[in-house]
Amino acid sequence: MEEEYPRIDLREKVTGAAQYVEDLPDLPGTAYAAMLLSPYSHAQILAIDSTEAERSPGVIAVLDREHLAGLNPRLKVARHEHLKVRDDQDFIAIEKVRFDGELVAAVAAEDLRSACQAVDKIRVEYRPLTPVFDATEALQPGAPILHEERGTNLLFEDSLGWGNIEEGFRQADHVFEESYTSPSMFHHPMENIGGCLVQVINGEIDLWAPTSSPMRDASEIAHFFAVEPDKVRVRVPYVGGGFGSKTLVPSIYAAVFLSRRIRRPVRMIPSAEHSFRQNARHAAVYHAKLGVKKNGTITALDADLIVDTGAYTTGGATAVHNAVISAWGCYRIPHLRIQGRCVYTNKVPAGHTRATGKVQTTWGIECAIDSVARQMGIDPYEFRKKNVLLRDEFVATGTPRMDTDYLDLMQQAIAAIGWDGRSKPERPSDTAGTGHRWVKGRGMALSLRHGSQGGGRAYAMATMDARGEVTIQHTAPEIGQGTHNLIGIVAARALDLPQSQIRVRQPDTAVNLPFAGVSAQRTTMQMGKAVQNACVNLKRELFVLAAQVKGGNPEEWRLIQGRLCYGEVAFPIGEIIGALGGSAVIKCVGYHSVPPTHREAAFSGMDHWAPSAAALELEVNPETGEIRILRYSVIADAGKALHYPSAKAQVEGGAVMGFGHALFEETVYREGQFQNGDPFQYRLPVMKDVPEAFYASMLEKGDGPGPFGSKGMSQTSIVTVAPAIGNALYDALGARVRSLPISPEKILQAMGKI
Amino acid sequence: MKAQGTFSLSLTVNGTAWSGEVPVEETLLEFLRRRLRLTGTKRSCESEVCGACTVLVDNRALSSCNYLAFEAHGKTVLTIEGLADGEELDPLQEAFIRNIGAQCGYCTPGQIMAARALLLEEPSPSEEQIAEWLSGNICRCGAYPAIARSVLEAAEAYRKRK
Amino acid sequence: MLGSLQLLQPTTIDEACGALHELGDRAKIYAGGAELLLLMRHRLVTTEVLVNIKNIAGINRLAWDGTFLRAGACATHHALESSPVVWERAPLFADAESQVANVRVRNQGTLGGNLCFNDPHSDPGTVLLVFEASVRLASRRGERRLKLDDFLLDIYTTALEPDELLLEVQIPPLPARMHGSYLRLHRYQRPTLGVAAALKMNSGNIEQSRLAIGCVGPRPQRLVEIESKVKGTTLTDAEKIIAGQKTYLRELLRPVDDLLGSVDYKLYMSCVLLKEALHQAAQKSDLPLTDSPALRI
Repeated sequence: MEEEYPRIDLREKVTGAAQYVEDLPDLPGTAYAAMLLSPYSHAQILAIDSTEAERSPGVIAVLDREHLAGLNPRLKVARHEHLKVRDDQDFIAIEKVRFDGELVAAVAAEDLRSACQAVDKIRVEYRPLTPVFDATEALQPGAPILHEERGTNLLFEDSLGWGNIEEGFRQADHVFEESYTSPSMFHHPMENIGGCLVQVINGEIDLWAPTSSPMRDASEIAHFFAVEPDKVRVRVPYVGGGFGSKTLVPSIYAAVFLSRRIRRPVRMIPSAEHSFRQNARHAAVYHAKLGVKKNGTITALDADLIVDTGAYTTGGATAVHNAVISAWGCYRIPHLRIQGRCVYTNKVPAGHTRATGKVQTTWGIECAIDSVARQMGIDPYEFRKKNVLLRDEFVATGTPRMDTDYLDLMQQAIAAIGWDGRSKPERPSDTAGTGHRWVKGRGMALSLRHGSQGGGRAYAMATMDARGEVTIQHTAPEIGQGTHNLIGIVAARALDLPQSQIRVRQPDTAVNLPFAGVSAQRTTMQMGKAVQNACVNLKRELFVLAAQVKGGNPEEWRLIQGRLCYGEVAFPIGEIIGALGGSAVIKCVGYHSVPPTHREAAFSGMDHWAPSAAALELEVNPETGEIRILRYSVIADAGKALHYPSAKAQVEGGAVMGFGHALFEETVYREGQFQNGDPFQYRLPVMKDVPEAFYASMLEKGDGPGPFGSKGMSQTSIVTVAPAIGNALYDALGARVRSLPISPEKILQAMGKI
Repeated sequence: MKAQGTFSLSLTVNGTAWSGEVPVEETLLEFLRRRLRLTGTKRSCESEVCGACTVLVDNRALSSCNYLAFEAHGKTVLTIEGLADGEELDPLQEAFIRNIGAQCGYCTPGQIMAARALLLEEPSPSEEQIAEWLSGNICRCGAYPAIARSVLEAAEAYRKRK
Repeated sequence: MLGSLQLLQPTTIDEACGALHELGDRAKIYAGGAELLLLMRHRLVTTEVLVNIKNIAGINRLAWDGTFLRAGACATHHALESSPVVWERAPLFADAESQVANVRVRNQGTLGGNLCFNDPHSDPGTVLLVFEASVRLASRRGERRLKLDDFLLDIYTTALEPDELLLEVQIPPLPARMHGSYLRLHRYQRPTLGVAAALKMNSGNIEQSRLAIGCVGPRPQRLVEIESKVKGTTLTDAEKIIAGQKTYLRELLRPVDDLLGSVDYKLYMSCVLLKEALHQAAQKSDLPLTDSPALRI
């Protein structure tokens, strides 16, 4: 019944009625803010002269390092459960700028045109410094240092290990070394990053912003401006995509600052070029040494990871930690050592991005597995079958046992593209002169995410009125995943009501219902459970009330299809709630707690594993290096998809973004600047890039710990695309590209043609 | 002949006539969103690349972000708000809902208007034609397979309607 | 966001030329704005006044006059890609026009605007070199006619004087029995490489060829030296000759390493696409006339 009900956010979205932050009407007296960003990637700020800008028509106030009114500009880095982080970023540049796009000044004016014109009149005198854009170079002695007080560009190290690595390599008959690099990439949500609308009323900061974590943002703003937490209210209208990027970025702090200062509402409207300079995915180098026995059994993995977080810590701790705990893939490795280093460079700071840290390691381990198998003359499919973890196997201390069936996932993935999983037995010789313009190849890749990660308790509140209508309040934004629809479905099922009787409110932190945010695959699991529990509690309250009004024991009452039943007798809900009088409602809170966090454990706060398998067929033109993806299948373990079309859309969408990461996307820094930080130069996947045969489906055994057997699964499909393409390319041409994106030029280079 | 800073604009938007003075530099996107409060048309790249601001001017798809409002003088503009007939949705809108052709929804008005322009020009497009045409409309959520399905289904619904 | 602007709307060529003469560098010709407005938003171009030439009678006309296909400066890419007379007289050009940017840009952007910007990453100029097209220009000093090859000077630079207006492009059809092909490498928003080839074959040998490459260097170029070297050769020999022309191409095209690829990659792909374009053009010579769009790489 539920799946027949249309996804609840879509009618508004297809009619243009859905409002995003920029669509909200101006508040009375709204001023417009514009930003001045640094054109340098690394420079000292010698002087800022804003006198001309302040005199510019329509200008109300200028914000720069000279106009802070005593505010401490230092932003608080999100705490990390495992790693020590230090606050290292100011919301507005003070002594130096450390990336192309750092916020140097902002202007509030009567209208946007006046604000933009005034920004052009701010004179900033810079002394350019040598930038460093490569993390490996940034670690070398003599490299330019970004944060002088640290004396090094190394932020922190993280590690994971078990067994005895020396013993592991002693047991090996063969040892292989493999390196794979991933560039920094941009989330590119269609709604630009950094916009907001803010006002201050009675000392309360009222912020409307596109964000995935309104509760966290509210507390960070309160801390930053030194006001009580109850003096910040964050509301989130529809969000035009995030993928990890929609957080509290400096421009939002600037807008709040200006609004407090001028005592008027302020609206920040970022351009696409601004958006490009607000967030990024971490670049990474994955270097692995693998020990393998003659029979193909892996004995040891020693991996070294360099994670480039850009100019400031931002998401560096999560990225390096996620990279470290995922660098071993999904294989049985008795002796393991993984070390990860987080490094500063003069790039746009990298925050969280869809499968943070794991896109990079999956690209590494899954290509390395394929490469090692082939070097040993073993079919990669057989090699994977031999080494992959099976259901109920022990994985690592502090984690659940393996809770999926990789053999089933692989089988389904290859069957979907009509492949038996076997690769071409030998490396084909150079195809020149074969007369076949396009050469086919097939490859696969597996992934393992730790599902539903961390974040503490999630809360939701359910309210039933005398009409029997239920309203769910929560702080989980609708950012594209179908969050609100999911909440509606869980509530409807928990209460046995039609979904049309459930109202899901937009997030508002004034309800004070904590939730870590719609990220890290936690929404279905954590928010789903919180909603389910709120509804279970609501039902219990309803039965108590029914027993009081009509008699019997609460345990004897049932709620069946919107009617309260006692034995054979059924009552409308309204009759029971109405007994409370006038506008009475029943209101209950529910919550979900993640497993308690062990600070010392590498894997903390995780509920389950989130695996996937992918198989891909491509053809490549050996003369031009052009790739056409013919067939792609990805199978994710969803436990149970609560709204199948939405879950499928997530899996498909992740894969499409994966095509971009694999084939086109990279932020390029050269000659001191961010070269392609604009929509014209940064290539995104378009409809023509989607394979003709594209199967995204789910394994549903109903065995997840989430509501009704579900699991977190939204990040499982993005990670497998690049290694599946890399492996299929090798299958086709015997050429291996080891750095993303896999461009035609790199393919030609790998073939020795240029 | 004297240069003018404003333009006396008369046009029809979603079936309603509008006349008034607009600054020469006002884009159609600004005109629709700020003057008429038709915020279904979205601002994103402002470079004619992403298609989020696509509207129909005399039945042709245009990037309203990079099209001066005065150019629409005497013309008919259709935006996402003008597609449904009261409560009755257009077949494209229905198909997008059915197929989850929208996720975050930000590109959706542009996708639907671009598809509308395609179906006016080619009522029975092939999958290749749809992909070719809509490759100028970016969906970062990656709903392309569902969008393509939606356009195919809507094309059929339009044909049946006639 | 665009700064404040003023608008002039001349309805005759004289009015437009007069306005350009009077306003000098305070004005810019406005022919649709697809490129101009983008550059203005990024402050790469500033101007006070837009001189909208779209109201000049006949300025968007497409017609065959018995000698030339005449395309008015304000003919949109969409008009060109969908015009029966263009498909009849210059199908290669119509096909290239159908590949310009995206459908919205084709609805707005004009041929004149495109040529006058001379953005190196553009399609029409390359193809029109193979047609040996000319442009007709007007100013208060009178009219003049220039070969397109002499009009397109350098990156974002043409022979158009500040007070001058491009009226139309005159496109002679390809000579009898000559067939063409336009191929492009299009991985990013703007094409990396465009190759136009037109061939007249005679019993398996190349009787006459016209070759042009665009997007790689500052402006599209005819490959005169290669044209003369392949004259009289078979297709197979021509392919071998092309493979040996990297130095010539490097000097002629002056490619640079950029986001679209390295110099080596661009030169390598220039040769690959040239060979393919020759091949396709030759195939068309063997076939009865068709209007099928060229294979896209």
